[in-house]
Amino acid sequence: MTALPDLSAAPVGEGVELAVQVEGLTKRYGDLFAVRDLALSVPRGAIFGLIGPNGAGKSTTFLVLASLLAPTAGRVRVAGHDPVENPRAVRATLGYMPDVMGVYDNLRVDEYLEFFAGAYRLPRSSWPGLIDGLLELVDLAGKRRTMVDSLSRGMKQRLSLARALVHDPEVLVLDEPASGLDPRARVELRELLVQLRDMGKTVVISSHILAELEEMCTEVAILEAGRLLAVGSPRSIGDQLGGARAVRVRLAGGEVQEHTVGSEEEQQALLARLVAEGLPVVEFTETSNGLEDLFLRVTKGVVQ
Amino acid sequence: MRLRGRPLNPVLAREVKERMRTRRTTIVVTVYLAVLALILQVVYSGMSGAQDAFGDSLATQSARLGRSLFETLLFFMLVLVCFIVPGGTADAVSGERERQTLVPLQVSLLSPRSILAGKLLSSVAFVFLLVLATLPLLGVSFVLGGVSVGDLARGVAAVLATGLVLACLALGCSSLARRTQGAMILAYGLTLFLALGTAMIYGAQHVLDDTGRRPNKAVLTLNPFFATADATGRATFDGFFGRFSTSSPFDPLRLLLVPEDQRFFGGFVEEEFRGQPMPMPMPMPVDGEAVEFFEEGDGGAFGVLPDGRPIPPEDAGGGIPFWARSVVVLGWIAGAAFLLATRRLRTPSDRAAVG
Repeated sequence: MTALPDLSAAPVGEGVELAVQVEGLTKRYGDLFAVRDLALSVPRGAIFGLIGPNGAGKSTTFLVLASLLAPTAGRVRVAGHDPVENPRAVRATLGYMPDVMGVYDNLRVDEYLEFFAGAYRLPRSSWPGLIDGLLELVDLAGKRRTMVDSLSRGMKQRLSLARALVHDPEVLVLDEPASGLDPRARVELRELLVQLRDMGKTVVISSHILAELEEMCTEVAILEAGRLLAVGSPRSIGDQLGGARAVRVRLAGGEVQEHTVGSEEEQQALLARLVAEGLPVVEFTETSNGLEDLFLRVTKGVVQ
Repeated sequence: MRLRGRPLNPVLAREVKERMRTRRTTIVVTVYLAVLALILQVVYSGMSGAQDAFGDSLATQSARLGRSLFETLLFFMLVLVCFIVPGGTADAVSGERERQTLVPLQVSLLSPRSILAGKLLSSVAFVFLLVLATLPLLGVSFVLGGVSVGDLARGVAAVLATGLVLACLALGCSSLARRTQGAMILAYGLTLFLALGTAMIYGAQHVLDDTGRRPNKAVLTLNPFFATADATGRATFDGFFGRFSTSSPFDPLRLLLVPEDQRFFGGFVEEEFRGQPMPMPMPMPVDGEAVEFFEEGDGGAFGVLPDGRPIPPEDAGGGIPFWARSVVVLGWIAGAAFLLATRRLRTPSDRAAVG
């Protein structure tokens, strides 16, 4: 097996403003390294996906970003603030959504958000407008007076996202927000995250559902056993890996051809050749699993 | 809800809202009042039918009954607070962990101190609600007499202070334990130690010490029942000197607080007699020892101890009342427990946050 190229140091363009910067982050519990020498740079306005099997160190990294966990070594900056030295400043600029959303038994949806508006010291006069806007954004306006514990899982996830947005943070850190959601709720969540990116938020997200990350992430980082294996846009990682791409071509009349190409340029050349040959191409699709395929090629199955 | 232009602690507002919406609160308040009403009925029936041993006037008998009802209610209020507060507070932090709601709180702009202060105030507010709910029952003793507004204020303050101390301890337990069950066991264990364990240690000292010295009462300063007995107490056996006596559950505690050499007739030296002329010289045996009174040059009589020292103007303790010492000791312990909980909730921490 040939060695993979070093994909863990994707270049960041000069002058790019960083929302999150992680340098040499290490977190260990006794002899166990949860994260080892991790380096990440998340540009402002990006949707950055953190991918890895269970135990890869994604949640640990998020806890450090959210100023809940002190790193063993390394330096972290969130919107320019150090979570260890100035956790309060980080909390004012970061919205964190943990992988499991707990609920209070006897609060309504609007009261739940009011509580967190108070917890973020927002002026009370701003609460009604803020809560209206947030409920509208996460499509829960019709559930305003519903008790939180009676919401479906998808609704709770959306409410949790609204909670993370209550103080209008610059950076959103979302740990497995799509976990346990049905397909429809996942699509809604994805649309919501794209909407947030369009609003100028930086989103750092982890998920097991790689197809979704592929569609919305501008960059991804692949972790395994606490180590960063690859970072960059899904396409650039694929290109660096130099793996073959499967292309499915359907011709008029129903004939289907399967081709294999090595890069995006070869893919373009194939299409040009088929058209030049006068073949009636009606569909030209890359059929590799994309991010999922990359993930399987990059990781070695060290942790599960 | 706002307080002097500042929003109310959001944790307090939420806790109160949540607590008042649960059926459990209704049940607890109902059972609490039912138990106290039953006790009131039993004491009232028992005492109002009893023969007056001293031939006191109706007003004195009524006052004695009023005083007994008040002190009995106060005693059982404390007992019920000891049952209710640890159980209601021990889930403050561990419950948030279990419900997975602690992390969103910790990443907000609320400091650990604000979070815990909200929890603590919520518990104390519930004790306050219980006290308010008891006022109609306490009002019966007012009608009968023998209880002043000051007595009531001291009693209510003692119950609230006990609730505050127990809530702080339960908060500390809740921050230490990973599960609410463990926090409950720890909180009730500590409460049991304060309420009974301290008295048992004092008793054991008394039994085991064969030097003849009086046991050290320091351990009793940890006991909120003794502190309340002292703060709300007055001489309760004094039929000889024309004072009314009561049958209060606090009486045995007060008896223990007064040094043996200051007791006589099973009762107490009245405040005005400490170091002052007594109305008549007479020997008074106490537990085999003799307390003598002798004539001074000016014709007055002074209370003296067997070794010739006059009875001191205050209980042993350098002039600081027992209840005040108890407030300091219990306040320190409560503060330490609160501080411990604050430290346990501080982030970023070295261990992964759970919940």
